[in-house]
Amino acid sequence: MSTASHVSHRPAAGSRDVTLLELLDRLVDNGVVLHGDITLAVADIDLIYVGLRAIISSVSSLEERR
Amino acid sequence: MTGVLYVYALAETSEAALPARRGHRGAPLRHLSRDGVTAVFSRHRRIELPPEERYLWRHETITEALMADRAVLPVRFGTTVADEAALVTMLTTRAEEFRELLALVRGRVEIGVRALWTPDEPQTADAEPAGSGRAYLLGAVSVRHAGAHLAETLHAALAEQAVGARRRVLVTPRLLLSGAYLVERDGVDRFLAAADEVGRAHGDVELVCTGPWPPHSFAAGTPEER
Repeated sequence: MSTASHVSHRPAAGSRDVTLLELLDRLVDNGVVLHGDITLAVADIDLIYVGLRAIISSVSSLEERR
Repeated sequence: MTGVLYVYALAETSEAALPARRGHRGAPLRHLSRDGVTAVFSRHRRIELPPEERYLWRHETITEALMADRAVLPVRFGTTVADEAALVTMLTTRAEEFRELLALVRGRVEIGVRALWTPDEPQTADAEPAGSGRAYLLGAVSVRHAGAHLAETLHAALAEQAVGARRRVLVTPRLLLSGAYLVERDGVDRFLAAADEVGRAHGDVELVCTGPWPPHSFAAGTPEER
C-alpha cells in the first residue's frame, strides 16, 4: 500500500522502535494460521514477548504481574 | 521436488499482476489460486527465519504491496507449507472462511492504538505497618481493576469509530490497552481525530497510534470483541 507510512500518529521519542515493536507484535501473533509448520519455535515467540514487554514497560517501576 | 513454500499472504484473486518484488532471500514471488483466493508465496530449499527486522519488513512490504489493489489477509510470519498440493488443499477446504474474512477487510485498514499509563503505586508503607504484604497486594489489585476499567472505556470509545476491533488489556502494568481497529481506508484521518479526542478526554493516559497496517489482527476469524 503506497500510502502506508507507519508514522506514529503522535510520534514519541524512539518512535522507530515503537513501529518495529508494533510490526513484530502483529506479524508473530496475528495473521492467518495455516495448517503448516511455523518456523518460529514457541520458545522464540516467548522470548520476543519477554523482550517486548521489557521495552514497553521499561519506564515502569512495578514488577510485571501476569 | 523437495523444499518448502513460505507463504506471505492470502489475497482475493485478481487480474492485477503480482508486485514487482522479491521474496525472502531473493526468491521470486509465486501465486496459486483456488475458489477466488490466491496464496502468495516463495519457494525455498529450506527456510528458517529469525524474527529480525529485515525479514519482518520483507514479509510486511510484500503484504502491503498486494494490498494496494486487492483485499489481503496477512499470514503469520514464519508460515511454511510443504508444497503446492498442501496449499491447494488448504485453499479449497477453507475457501469459505477466507472469502468471508476478505469481504470483511476489503477497502479497510488496521490502526494500532496503544494506551500507556503510569499506574498509581499501591498505597502501603505510610499507612500500614512495615511488612504488610496483604495491604500491598490489595492495593495492587485495586490499581489493576481501575486500569482494566479504564482500558475498557477507552476501547469502547475507539471501537465505536471502527468496523472491527480487537484488544488486549494490561499486557504489562504500563501497557493499559493494546488495541487494533479496522477502519475504512478513507476514514483513517477521521479515526485518528477521534482517537485524539479520546486521548484528550483522558489526560492520565498516553495514546500512540500506528498504521495504517494490513489487517493483521482481523485475518484469523476470532470472534468480535466489541
